[in-house]
Amino acid sequence: MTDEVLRDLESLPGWTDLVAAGHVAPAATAVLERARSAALTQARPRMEAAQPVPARRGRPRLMRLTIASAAAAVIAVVASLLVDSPAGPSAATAAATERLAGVAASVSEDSLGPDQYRYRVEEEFELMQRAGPTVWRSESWTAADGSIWRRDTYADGQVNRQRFPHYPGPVPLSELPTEPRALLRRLRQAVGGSDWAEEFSVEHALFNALQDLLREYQAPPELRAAMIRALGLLPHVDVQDPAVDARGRTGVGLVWSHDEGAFAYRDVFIIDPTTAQVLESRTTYTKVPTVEHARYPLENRNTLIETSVVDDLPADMRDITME
Amino acid sequence: MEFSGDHSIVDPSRFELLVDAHGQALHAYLARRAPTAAEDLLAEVWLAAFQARDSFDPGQGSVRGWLFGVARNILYAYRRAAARAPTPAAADDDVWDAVDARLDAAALAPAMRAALRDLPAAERELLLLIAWEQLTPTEAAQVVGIPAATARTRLHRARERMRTHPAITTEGSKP
Repeated sequence: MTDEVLRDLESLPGWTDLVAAGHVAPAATAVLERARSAALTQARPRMEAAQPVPARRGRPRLMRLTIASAAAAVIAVVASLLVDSPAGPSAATAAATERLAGVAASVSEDSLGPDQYRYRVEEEFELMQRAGPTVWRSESWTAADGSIWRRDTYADGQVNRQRFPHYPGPVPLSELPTEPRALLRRLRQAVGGSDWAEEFSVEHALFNALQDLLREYQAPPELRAAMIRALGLLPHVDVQDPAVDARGRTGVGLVWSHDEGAFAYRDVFIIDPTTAQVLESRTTYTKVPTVEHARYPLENRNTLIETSVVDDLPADMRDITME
Repeated sequence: MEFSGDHSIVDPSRFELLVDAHGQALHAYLARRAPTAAEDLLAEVWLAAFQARDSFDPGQGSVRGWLFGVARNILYAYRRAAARAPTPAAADDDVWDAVDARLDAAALAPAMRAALRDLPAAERELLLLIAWEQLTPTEAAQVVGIPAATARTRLHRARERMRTHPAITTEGSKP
């Protein structure tokens, strides 16, 4: 301390004792980690959104997953213990997923030609504290090899265009296992190598991965059925039946509830019981801190508007660089 | 790698580095003043800091000082909420009470406790930011949102009040 004010203070009788009285034991790593986790779970969606224009839904997207190496192996070992643990889903969840899987297996595949794309339009909705809702339109074109082009159009006229490689990594979607447990093992490798592994529990990350696979891709019927059955193997997945989406359509909701103290939220995705298509993915925050100058999310969702097969990409999407 | 550089605060991808670099110090700050709520408050500090990161101006001070300022706002919001709470336990959770309890537990000389107690709250806060958080006078000024010169004046006054406090002088005059 070379500052004159500090030197004056240090000369006070009892100053050293006062400094010592402030000593607190260093916080345990677990304490810091809990606080860090609680904060980053909510901050990451905002980090994702910190793009030139708002990103799509807050959660990291499936297409960003990469298969990584040692970290994936470690996570996979942990995950296998979790997924194969006796704490399985409820009877209601098992029954609902089996019923939906039966529907998925019976819906004939709408296969894509080499020059065709599956076109999907969704409405995105985000509600934050102390702010009105934000709604924008998200369009995607998925090629037969799984590549995805996405165009988000916002109310102020901004347009965000992105292109993603196919998922998952070097394995074509059609080669994913159609046995539910084998599928979970394969997905654990991808999830373990992503930032999802830090943000969510492995089981929650698998829930999100399966949800995105079902929503974004038209996999072969037997694979879609396996995805739904795999959801039924995860512990902590609940069923909401009926569940109504933002457009008033009724489906079966598969639910993941998360409570970590300062924050609690509920992830629901609603599946059409007649087609096994995902109608809506929604995250509703049931508990967030109230801090004067902070804004936390209250709800975000994406709702299917339409889907079709098209023969070409729009001109403004053809030269988008791969992310 | 620069863990506490100013760039981290505006770069979302590097924000986590700040969490790691300053978490322990911020937790200690909160634990000294709201021991039962430090962990929850720390999570709120990070969230608030992330939300407000664009408001950080490197020309106005250090990241460390700015983060302590965010923590102070969270702490005071918590105090205001606690004061409105219906449960006495929450309402009693006042910073001075917590500070005094800490001084008592540390067996600080009664004269020093009395002198601190009798300081104006604004002066006491600056003094403790320096004594306990090891901040510079300039950083302490940044935390409470006053000019550095004002902080130095207040600290000088605080020092004089402490030095001339009757309890201190009486104790000092004892044989």
